[in-house]
Amino acid sequence: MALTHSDDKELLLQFKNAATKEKGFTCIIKKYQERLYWHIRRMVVHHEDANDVLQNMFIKVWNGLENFREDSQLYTWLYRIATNESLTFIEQQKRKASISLSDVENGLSEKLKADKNFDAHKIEWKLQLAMQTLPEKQRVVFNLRYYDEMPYEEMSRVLETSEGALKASYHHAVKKIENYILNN
Amino acid sequence: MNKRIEISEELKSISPLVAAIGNANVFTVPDGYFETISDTVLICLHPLNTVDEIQSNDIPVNYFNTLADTILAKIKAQEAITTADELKAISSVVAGISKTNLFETPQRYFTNLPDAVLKTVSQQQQVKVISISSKWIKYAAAAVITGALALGVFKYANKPAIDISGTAVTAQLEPSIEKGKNMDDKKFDETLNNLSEEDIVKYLEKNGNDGDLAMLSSNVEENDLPKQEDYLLDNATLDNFLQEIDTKNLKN
Repeated sequence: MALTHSDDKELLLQFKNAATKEKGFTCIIKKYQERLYWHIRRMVVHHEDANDVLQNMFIKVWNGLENFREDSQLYTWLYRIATNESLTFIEQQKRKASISLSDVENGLSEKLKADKNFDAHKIEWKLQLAMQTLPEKQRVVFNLRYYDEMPYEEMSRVLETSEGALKASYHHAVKKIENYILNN
Repeated sequence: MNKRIEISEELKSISPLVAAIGNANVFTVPDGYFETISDTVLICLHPLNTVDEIQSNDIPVNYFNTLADTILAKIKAQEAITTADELKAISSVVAGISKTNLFETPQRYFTNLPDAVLKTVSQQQQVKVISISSKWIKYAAAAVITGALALGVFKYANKPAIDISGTAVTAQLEPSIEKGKNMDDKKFDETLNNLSEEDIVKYLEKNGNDGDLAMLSSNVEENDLPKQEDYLLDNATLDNFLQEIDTKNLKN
């Protein structure tokens, strides 16, 4: 599905018209739900958590879309909200449990291991476990580049970080993952 | 001419070494560049639909009409190659792992999601602040009353009133809450503390922006809220806090 700016403009116009508001919003959800869901799911691991974060972010989109400034692209904005929501969710989990960062990593790893399809011998699952050892923001960069194949220029707009810093972050993330896979 | 000599002298005075290098042009241009530059510029300036008319015969029909798409397709293809190549260059181990999706979603999850979100939005609009905890409700009431209203978080003015007719309690409550604006801190605090949660909810239904309230409540841990005595004594505390939330969440 092409993510064109002009389509988004049309959807935004629909949203801003009271008569077509819900229709426009439904189209926005349908257009972006899968990409955003998987972006969130890779961060929070559990479907239930991903669903909560995704629904909350779309509710915030509903509340904020009226004032959305079209100097940024809709999908950049949506990715930014999804990323912030995922990080906030993880932060809240941490605070609620009053646990250390390493415990959170272990918690996410345990969630992975609890998946009914988990297979410790499969390298794809090892990759998932390795990702949980990354600092959260590095994990976001890895996800966006590795899975979503997002150009650094766009990622820079989503994360409001320089392209150079993102490249360095991705490089470190891949090296850490490689190290984990070779030693586990 | 004199100017050139002046500049040359100036350079000599600054650096005889640089001045001695000479200013011969080391660059070259493609053959016939200056003969064709005016045509090239003209093509760039000409509207797309007439560009083909001034082209020579060896340019395919519609070349310029499809050029942007062709280039974009190439850029996209290049980008896809770049991410794979980049990964390979960093780690052949990681690059060798397939990107098979390991996770599952419930059946028809994506089909049902838009309706689920719209239902929640609609419930949020109807139920308003009922689900917000006691501390939040009092905090929100204080925010509405103490005037932290211009931030877009709580919209007090120019808001269509919600019909809550038949709620006698609210009718009594409103004047006393409104008086809060003019009360001294202690009296206001007492009044606020004596109000029931239900009454404050009704008041906020009429005067607060519940979508923003819900957003605010879901974004901030209860522990982060300023203490009641802080915001009652100093409006700036509330202003600063709401400004911070406003900036963090509504920025795009």
